Amino acid sequence: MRRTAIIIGLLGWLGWVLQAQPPQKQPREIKFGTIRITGYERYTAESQPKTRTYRLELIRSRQKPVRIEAPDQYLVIEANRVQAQLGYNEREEPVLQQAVADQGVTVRYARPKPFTMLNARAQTAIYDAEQTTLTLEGNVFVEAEDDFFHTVARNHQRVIVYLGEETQRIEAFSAEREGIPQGELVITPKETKKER
Amino acid sequence: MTGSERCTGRDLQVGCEGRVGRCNALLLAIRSLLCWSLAALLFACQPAQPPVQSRPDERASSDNLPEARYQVAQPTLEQQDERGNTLWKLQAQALQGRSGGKQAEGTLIEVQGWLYRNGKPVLKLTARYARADAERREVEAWGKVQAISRVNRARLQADRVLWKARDDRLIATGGVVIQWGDFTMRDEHLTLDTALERAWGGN
Repeated sequence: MRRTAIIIGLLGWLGWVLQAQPPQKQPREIKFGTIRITGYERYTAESQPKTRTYRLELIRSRQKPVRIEAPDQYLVIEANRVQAQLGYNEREEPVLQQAVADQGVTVRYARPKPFTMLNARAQTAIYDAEQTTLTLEGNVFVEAEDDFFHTVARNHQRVIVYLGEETQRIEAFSAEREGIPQGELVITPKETKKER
Repeated sequence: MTGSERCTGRDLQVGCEGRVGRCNALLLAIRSLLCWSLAALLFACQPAQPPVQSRPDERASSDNLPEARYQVAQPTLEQQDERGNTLWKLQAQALQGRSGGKQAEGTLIEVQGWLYRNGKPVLKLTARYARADAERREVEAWGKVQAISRVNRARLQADRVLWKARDDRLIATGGVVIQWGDFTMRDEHLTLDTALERAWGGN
């Protein structure tokens, strides 16, 4: 009898506690297939049914930058402002077609096979899925790696990374001060398995 | 002048608070008048066309409404603009309202409706409750609101939506989810156009 009363009391208390909880706010989030976009506060989104594309303009929140994760494209972009276009590729898969990231940009690209990894910082970044290029501009820093080389580029005005290649291909245009190139590009060959 | 409203209902019940004797007499007196004026009164509507001069007894009734509660079964409400284009149409299981003095207000229950743009229906919505303000040309719906766009098949769900016909804007709040095919957007507060083709978020 006493035990039953305790159980009823506990259930009542639990019910009261659950009821007293404020309703959970759902996180602000955009999803398109495996693509996930978070961190934004102000934004505009537009559906264009004729081209089956979705255009976004996103501005970061106080706490976090805008973050676009496109795991199928091995890509993570973070920035204060992003304009993006989402749509479908020729295999009808949802993809990030284009992104223009501005202010405090960081890009991470990590493809497991054939292995390519890239971490970059820049003022702006333009990603084009059709051209499979990433164009970084303004005080660019890039650290990249594939099966054969480790590359570091600093103080470059412009860097174009060709992401579709099996091995890394990077074009770097140095920043200049009084006509003198300031850029630094260090390419270090990696030990291959055969050499070991 | 804001537009014209129409109300149809299958059944009309009027109840008065604590005045059973007078209630029957009042009911007979205002029953025919109510069918035409109830929607307008309940939703604070003002007719768009110049109002037809009413007879003195009718005017007296609508100027000083009896303290009463109303229930209309399966009403259909709609509003047109001054050119006769439909702005919105709402069908409900019931309309519950109350009046007293010059005030009247009401709520539609278990609602299904259409929101129009340029005289064409563009958004179908369902909700537990809704009300409309014909003067402001606004419709508010709450309680598991779901809407689907006829233009792009976009789907919206929210706890509450406020539609402003004059601005072509729909303000959705509470557990907002907008779906454009595979594209899904979640937020607590989102502004959209009536056809759900564009969305604006944040301050």
